[in-house]
Amino acid sequence: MYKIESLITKIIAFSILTISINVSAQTYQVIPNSCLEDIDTPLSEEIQKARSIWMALTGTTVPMCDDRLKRMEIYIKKGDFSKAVDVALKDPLHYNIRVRDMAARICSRDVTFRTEVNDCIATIVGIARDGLDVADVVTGNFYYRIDLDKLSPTKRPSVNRNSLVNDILRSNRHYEQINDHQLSMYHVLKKEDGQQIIDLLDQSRARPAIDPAGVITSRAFMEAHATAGTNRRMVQMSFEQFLCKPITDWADNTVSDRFVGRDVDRKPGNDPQKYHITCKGCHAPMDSMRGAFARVDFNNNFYRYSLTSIQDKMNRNGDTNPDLFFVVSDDSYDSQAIYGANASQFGWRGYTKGSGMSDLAQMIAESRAYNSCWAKHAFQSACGRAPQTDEEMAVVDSLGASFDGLNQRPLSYLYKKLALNRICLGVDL
Amino acid sequence: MRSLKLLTLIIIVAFAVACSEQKVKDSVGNQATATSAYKTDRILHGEQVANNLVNSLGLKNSGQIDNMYDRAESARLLLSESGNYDTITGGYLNVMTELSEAACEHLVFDLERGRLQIVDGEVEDNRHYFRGIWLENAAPGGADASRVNADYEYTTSNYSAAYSPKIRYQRAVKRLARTLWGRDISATEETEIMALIQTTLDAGAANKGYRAAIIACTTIASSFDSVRQ
Repeated sequence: MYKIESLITKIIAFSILTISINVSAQTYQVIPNSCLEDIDTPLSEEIQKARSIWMALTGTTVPMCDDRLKRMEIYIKKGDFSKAVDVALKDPLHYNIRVRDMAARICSRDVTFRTEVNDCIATIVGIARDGLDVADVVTGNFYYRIDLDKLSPTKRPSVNRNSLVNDILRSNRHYEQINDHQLSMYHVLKKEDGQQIIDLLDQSRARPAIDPAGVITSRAFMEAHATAGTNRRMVQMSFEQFLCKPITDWADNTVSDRFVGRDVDRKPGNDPQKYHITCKGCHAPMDSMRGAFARVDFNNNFYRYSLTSIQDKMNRNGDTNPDLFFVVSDDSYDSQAIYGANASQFGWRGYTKGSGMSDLAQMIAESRAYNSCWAKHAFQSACGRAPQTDEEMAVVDSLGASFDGLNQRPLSYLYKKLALNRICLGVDL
Repeated sequence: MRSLKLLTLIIIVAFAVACSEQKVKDSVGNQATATSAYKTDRILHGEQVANNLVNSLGLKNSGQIDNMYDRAESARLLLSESGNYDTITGGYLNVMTELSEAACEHLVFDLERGRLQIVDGEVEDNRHYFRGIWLENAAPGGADASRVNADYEYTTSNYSAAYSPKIRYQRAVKRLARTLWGRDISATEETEIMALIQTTLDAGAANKGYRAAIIACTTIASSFDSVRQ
């Protein structure tokens, strides 16, 4: 009797230990696996293909004896490549490494993955993990944060920077914990509906965001592009990151310049021709949409939205062109990037004029270029290089087109297609 | 001074291994086509270098791993930002070697040691890489070291040829290569690394088996194929 009791106690103790180890392991960014390589059996062609797919989707290796690779090998041997890809696509490493790096490039000022996790990165990773439509990246009224309930009891006390005002809206301290504690975003992120901003009337409080526009109105994106300046960068980088069009691609000096700000000299070096030839091309289309950001600024470490007034930076240097009367007085915009070549390269499909950031973001998300831009981001992420050759561009174009035709557009669709593509992988499947 | 020499040696051998890999690929037509130029021009970047070591060697998250991440973080400017092949620099190789060495120490000293135990007077060797190899101070804590030593002494000669100490090291090297490179080691590469192990063992310094294991692991972990994406 005593022996049975003792045995049961041991089993329970072991179970508790196992459970606590599993919970604890799940919160880590990288979840290592350990196995014994069987060097007496040669590597099959299929497992080497599995490894190529695995690397493309997770950006990291695992031992060749890893059961995830073994499962992929079995599916490949059966000719079921789709299921093989799913193994890697459903792995936390895909989100914690590949998607995270792609998001970091989108969310940082220097377009680099050398950056701490922030609210923008966490939101893109969360959207990918939850299989939401990519339009939500710029139109969603939500954000992602660490769910303390997902942490192990031992880990929870040290993840203590969780104040909405102080650690999320006024600093990045909440998200820095992901790196500090090597947390797995795949496991610990939770979606919070309703973006929040600092209440300008009482800056120690938060209030529901006005005019939310997905990650465009995240603290990180605002810090990167709305700090000082004239908010032109917000337009420029929104187009560069979400439509994959640098301003040089959509400059157009044939359109009206009636929205060009007063701070732009119409006679640089006393030469009006210079303005018409070199300045107007970028400023005319860009400034026509700048109004959408008229109420926003980033200073003193937080994103400010002014309900009652237009930011001073929108109408700076009135004395540069005192004879011009165009002044930004509200957050309306009327895009001029809709004519000629711009009409076809962006493929606008909704309203091209409106008010505020959410309208502008809607315009971006409804365009054809938005979908092909995600195809391009995914290509760079999974294939490890920007598409350059005609062959690679054709892959991105065709992928963007098929993505565009979907009702629901999860990022996983793009990664899956690319992981099965010979040109991306460099291996014949 | 000695560790500096060791580090230099590892970098030289890792480089030589990288070069011999290339030679092997060039001489085997099929393999060269299977690995297209698209794939060969990518390397691990930034923090992924550390993630990769943790993943592939199956290292457990611990304070030591945190230290390795801290080292990667502090050296992030030396680690490739874009992952392009031409971003390999001397600094990148140095950091790679340093991180690999930290990872290998953790593997050999902590993980592998834990897998070698004496149960009821019998040796139970469940190590994944260095099975059957005497690693001196990486022997199980509190165990009867002399008992393990007697079974695992590299220089003991009363083994069958099929299970000689040399064969055991070769098997360790083969396992590490398969894990870290995702392919089987070539004869040229194996000769290079085995020569390095032999040199270390012949030097007769304290903890020679342990040193040889670290050197073999670091050489493989810091060579080109283990950072190739």
